Amino acid sequence: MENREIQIRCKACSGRFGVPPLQTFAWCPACHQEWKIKWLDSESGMIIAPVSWKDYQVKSRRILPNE
Amino acid sequence: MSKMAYISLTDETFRIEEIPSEQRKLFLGGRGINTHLLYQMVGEETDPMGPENVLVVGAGMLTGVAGIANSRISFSAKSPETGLLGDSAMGGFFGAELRYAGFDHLVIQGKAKKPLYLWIHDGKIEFYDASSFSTLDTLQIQTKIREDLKDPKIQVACIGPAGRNLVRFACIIHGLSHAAGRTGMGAVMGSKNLWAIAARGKSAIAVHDPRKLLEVVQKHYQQVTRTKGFLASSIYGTMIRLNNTRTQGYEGGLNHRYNMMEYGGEELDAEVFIERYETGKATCFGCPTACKHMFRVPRGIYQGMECEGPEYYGCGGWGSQCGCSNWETILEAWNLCAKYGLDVGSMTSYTAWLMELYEKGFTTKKETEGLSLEWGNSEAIIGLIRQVVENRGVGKLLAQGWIEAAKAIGKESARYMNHVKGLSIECDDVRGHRAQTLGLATASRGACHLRSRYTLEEFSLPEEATRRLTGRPVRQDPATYEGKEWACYWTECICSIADALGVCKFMTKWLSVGLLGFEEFIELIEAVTGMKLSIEEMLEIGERIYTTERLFLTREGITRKDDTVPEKFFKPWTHGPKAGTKIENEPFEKLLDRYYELHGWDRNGIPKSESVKKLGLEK
Repeated sequence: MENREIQIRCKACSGRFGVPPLQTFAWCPACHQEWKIKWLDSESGMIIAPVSWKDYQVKSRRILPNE
Repeated sequence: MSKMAYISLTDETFRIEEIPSEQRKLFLGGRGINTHLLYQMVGEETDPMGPENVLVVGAGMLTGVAGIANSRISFSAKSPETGLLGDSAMGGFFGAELRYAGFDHLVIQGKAKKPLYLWIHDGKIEFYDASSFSTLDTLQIQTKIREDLKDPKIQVACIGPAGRNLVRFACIIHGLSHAAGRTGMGAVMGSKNLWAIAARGKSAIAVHDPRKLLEVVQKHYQQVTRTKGFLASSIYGTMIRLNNTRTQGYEGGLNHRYNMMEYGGEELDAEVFIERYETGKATCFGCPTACKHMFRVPRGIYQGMECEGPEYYGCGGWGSQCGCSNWETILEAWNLCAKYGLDVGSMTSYTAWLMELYEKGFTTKKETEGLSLEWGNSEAIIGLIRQVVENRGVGKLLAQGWIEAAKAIGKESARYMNHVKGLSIECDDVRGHRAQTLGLATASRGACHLRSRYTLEEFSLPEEATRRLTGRPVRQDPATYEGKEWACYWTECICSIADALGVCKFMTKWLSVGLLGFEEFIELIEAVTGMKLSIEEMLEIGERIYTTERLFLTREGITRKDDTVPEKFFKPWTHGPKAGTKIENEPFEKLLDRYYELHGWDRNGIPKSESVKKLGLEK
């Protein structure tokens, strides 16, 4: 069986990483964010959402120096 | 031959002229010819709501022939919302039908003595009484016209209660929710007592080489339907951006206070909408994508409500910008705006603005007739729409546009409105993307993503790909200012050309690399008209359209000081992967210098006389 991966761009760190076709969850190896993957066809996968919006939204808050 | 009708509503007369071939070569059609005519026919003294304003309606050069997503028609006039350039386009089937009825452009002048609608069919124009529409919404008006004229295939563009009540951000609606939304073109129709335009025709549109056209369209169909952009659009439509902006941290939240909300994602997700509410898909003339959602609310207080939509700017506008994560509120708000004929872009941003003013104590329940304008309050979102259309409460102020409303509410209130040149910014937060910020700051109809947003800046494309695409390499690091003037310029050109041809931008390289671009447009133009154009000539036409619009703005007093974004955008992003990013003053000013130079405008943003002459725009 063919052992290939489709490249997907992480929406958190913008790095690219490989995902086996039709796999519906994936971790970004660089930033460790876990994503839900939507397959438009067997060659075109895209990140549709984080596995947990709640965690993603809460942890995305950065405390900036002027706050 | 392409025809244009000059229509006087005042004396219910018209004359028909052929569109000069020279005008076609210089401006193509649609927004291009509209802009040219508008610049000639109105001036700085023109009252946008007066009979002297001119409403130009223009189908694109390719609208209605065999093609891909070539459905669009532009409406242009001096804007009652901004007092500057007004222009807005819609898809659907009205543009194609107007051409089959024998006309590419309508130039509508004067004011009717009583409400009327235009019945345009088979080369004829008739003036019909519209008094009986006075209690009808946009959908009911379209149904009534079809019933009265006994033809279910008539296509109608009309205004609803908002336009009739002269709300300054009223839009024009066709079908369930195709809208010429921004800049208040519905208010212009209302001010002229023109309540609808109905079209039906059986004329063929002349095509120079039909066989070649079919070959080209078939090739383009194969090309676009394989792209990721097409596949994603056919599932999610514009709503895909709801998820994209939130994950990447350019989702405007609470009137652009934040760039990502900290709650609501589990509910306000495109997948949730599709699973819970979508009943089917709808499309426009010639489009294989079918990006429009048909929806029905299955339960709750809006149970049974059905409409078409909503687009991303409604979801994000009432969603993150107003802090509401209740789908059913958003769907009802969308439905009301479509039925009333209200621009969703303005209504959402005005609501977010008022919510911030309410929080800061500028307005109280006394002015709002008891509405509690707290962030996320569903009753407030729906109640405000009704107040605007019914001309009461704080809605009575908003109906006059935010500029007048701010005067009434108090001087400082204007500081909280996020706008460029008087047009409110929708829900995207562009401050981390330099080309997009430049595009927003300089867009010719005021803050607008459909004029010059370099969408590709979000995709981290290799420089080689951007060179192939735009003719020059563009660094994809969103934070760099270098070369972003070209990205903005190229986007202005492709958007101007798409609008002049009547092609939907969502099917062009504006959105995705594999979709239609200048090369494809050149093939289509040659097959349809016989005109042979090069990419350089296409860029020149885009430049000509954009510079004409800039001349319009210059005449109204717009200069460099107006080519900027709100103060909030010069402060850092608070959330997400790029937190801390902000627009920096000095590099932005240098970017603006390079942008003006590229256009042949002076340091103050005014087109130089030699540039005007080179483009053939001197009077």
